[in-house]
Amino acid sequence: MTTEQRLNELIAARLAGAIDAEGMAELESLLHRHPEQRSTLALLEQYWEAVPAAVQSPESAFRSIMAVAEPDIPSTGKIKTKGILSRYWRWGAAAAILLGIFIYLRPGSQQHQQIVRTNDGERKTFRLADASTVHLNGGSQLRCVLDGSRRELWLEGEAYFEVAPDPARPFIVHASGVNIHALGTAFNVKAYHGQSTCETTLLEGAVEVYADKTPDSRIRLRPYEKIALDGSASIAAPIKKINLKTIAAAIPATKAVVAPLADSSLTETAWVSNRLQFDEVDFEELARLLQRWYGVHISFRDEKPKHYVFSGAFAGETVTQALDALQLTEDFRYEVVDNTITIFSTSTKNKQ
Amino acid sequence: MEDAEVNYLWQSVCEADDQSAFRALFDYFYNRLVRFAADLAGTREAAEEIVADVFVQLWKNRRQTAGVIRLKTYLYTAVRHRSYNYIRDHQQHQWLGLDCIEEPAAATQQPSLEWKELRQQLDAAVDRLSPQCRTVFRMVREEGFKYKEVAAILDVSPRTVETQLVRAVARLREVLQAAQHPAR
Repeated sequence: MTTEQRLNELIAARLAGAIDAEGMAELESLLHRHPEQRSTLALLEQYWEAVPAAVQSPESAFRSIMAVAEPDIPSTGKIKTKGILSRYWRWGAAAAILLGIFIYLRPGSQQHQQIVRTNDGERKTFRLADASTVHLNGGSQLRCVLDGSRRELWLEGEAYFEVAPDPARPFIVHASGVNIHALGTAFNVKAYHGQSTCETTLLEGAVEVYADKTPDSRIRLRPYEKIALDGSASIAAPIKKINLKTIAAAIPATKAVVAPLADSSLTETAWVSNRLQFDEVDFEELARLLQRWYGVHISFRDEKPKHYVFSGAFAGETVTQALDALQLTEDFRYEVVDNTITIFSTSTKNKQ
Repeated sequence: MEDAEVNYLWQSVCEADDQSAFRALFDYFYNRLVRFAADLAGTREAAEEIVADVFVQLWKNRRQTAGVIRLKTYLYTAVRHRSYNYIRDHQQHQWLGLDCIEEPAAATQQPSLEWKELRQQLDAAVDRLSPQCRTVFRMVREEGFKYKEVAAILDVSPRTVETQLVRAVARLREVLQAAQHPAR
């Protein structure tokens, strides 16, 4: 056997971890006699160790595999039994990852419900089993019960709904003690925890809004109308319908066949188009919006900046770019530590 | 992924129908198995079909196969069987027993190569190995299989596995020496 051949054998064994002490000694002595082989071996070992990084497996491949492996998972249609349902939703969760959706099923609950959540800084869009679409703004939670007779949803936070028409199953959203009945329509509901009112903005179709405590006084909204209702008030608050866009109100009729789109020029629904829009809000309120939008924590070191009032919109900006833009109109400074932003007036000394 | 983690995930699949664990296993093995199958079956399309089929069966039979199998070996063996069946059914040329293709390393080479270039040359050399030689090399290098495991999966003797790995090493050493001493 030639030296070359023997080297190949010993090096192969060494790379494969199959070499014994005797082989190691033999390899050592061969390398001693042929020192030029050392660098070659070193490079080969380097190459051997440099295993290519794993590539992400295609989502589509997994989905088609599970579609065959679990054929009783309905791709559409109604849910019949609990067993199938729980599999369905767990599978749904896998599919939902693609859309960036987190679906959670409470298996022990009486009703088959689906809960979706967003963290601050997240905005997610998903499609319900009835083909309605929901855009969920940051820091929000939506619980859905969809079955053969009803479509009922509980919202905390903000969501924009594009409701698939289905006269047999009313679409009802509950938020902060306020109820919104809809049939084939598009509307925005804003009811964050800590907010005294539930704001409903209608973009298309018709909805009826009423508070839990005053079920008989229903308010019907027309497109581009907005209502803020305090669901916890013991008496019906003075009804304040705001007409947002009188001229545009005629437009939806001309594109009735087109899927309703959130109107991005409207402050109430700009977020659906990934725009954070705000109209004459003070900095304290804007900070809350920014927290939810960017998933950061914002605090004020002193009072003065809290009362600055801003109007504007952000789309692709980072949170610091947004703050830099705000600095153009008002005088304040900020510092960023990890995920926390502290805002202070320029006169305040920066405490270190 | 360590064997222990693979076992743990596989246990969750068998005992709790845990689809996220199944997904994790899929993510870990899919591309490796597709490459392995592509070496055996010849085309990437066939390989994807074969691997998908193996995962379908794995999920369907998760109850029966629980505890019985060492998942990693099982997957590779199942993929090999299906690949051979594919070749048989599609009457493609058998590559088994073919020797490494002896090709001279690329003609123009610089004496001092950047590692990245060198690595590309070695990757290309691996690609030019005979399919069995390449498969053995990848299984030992990338998956950390022992000779015996590779032999069991490929249904060849451990001696064949060793021979093929030595061939691969010989080829790569030639490439490296040519790169280091282009005059030779």
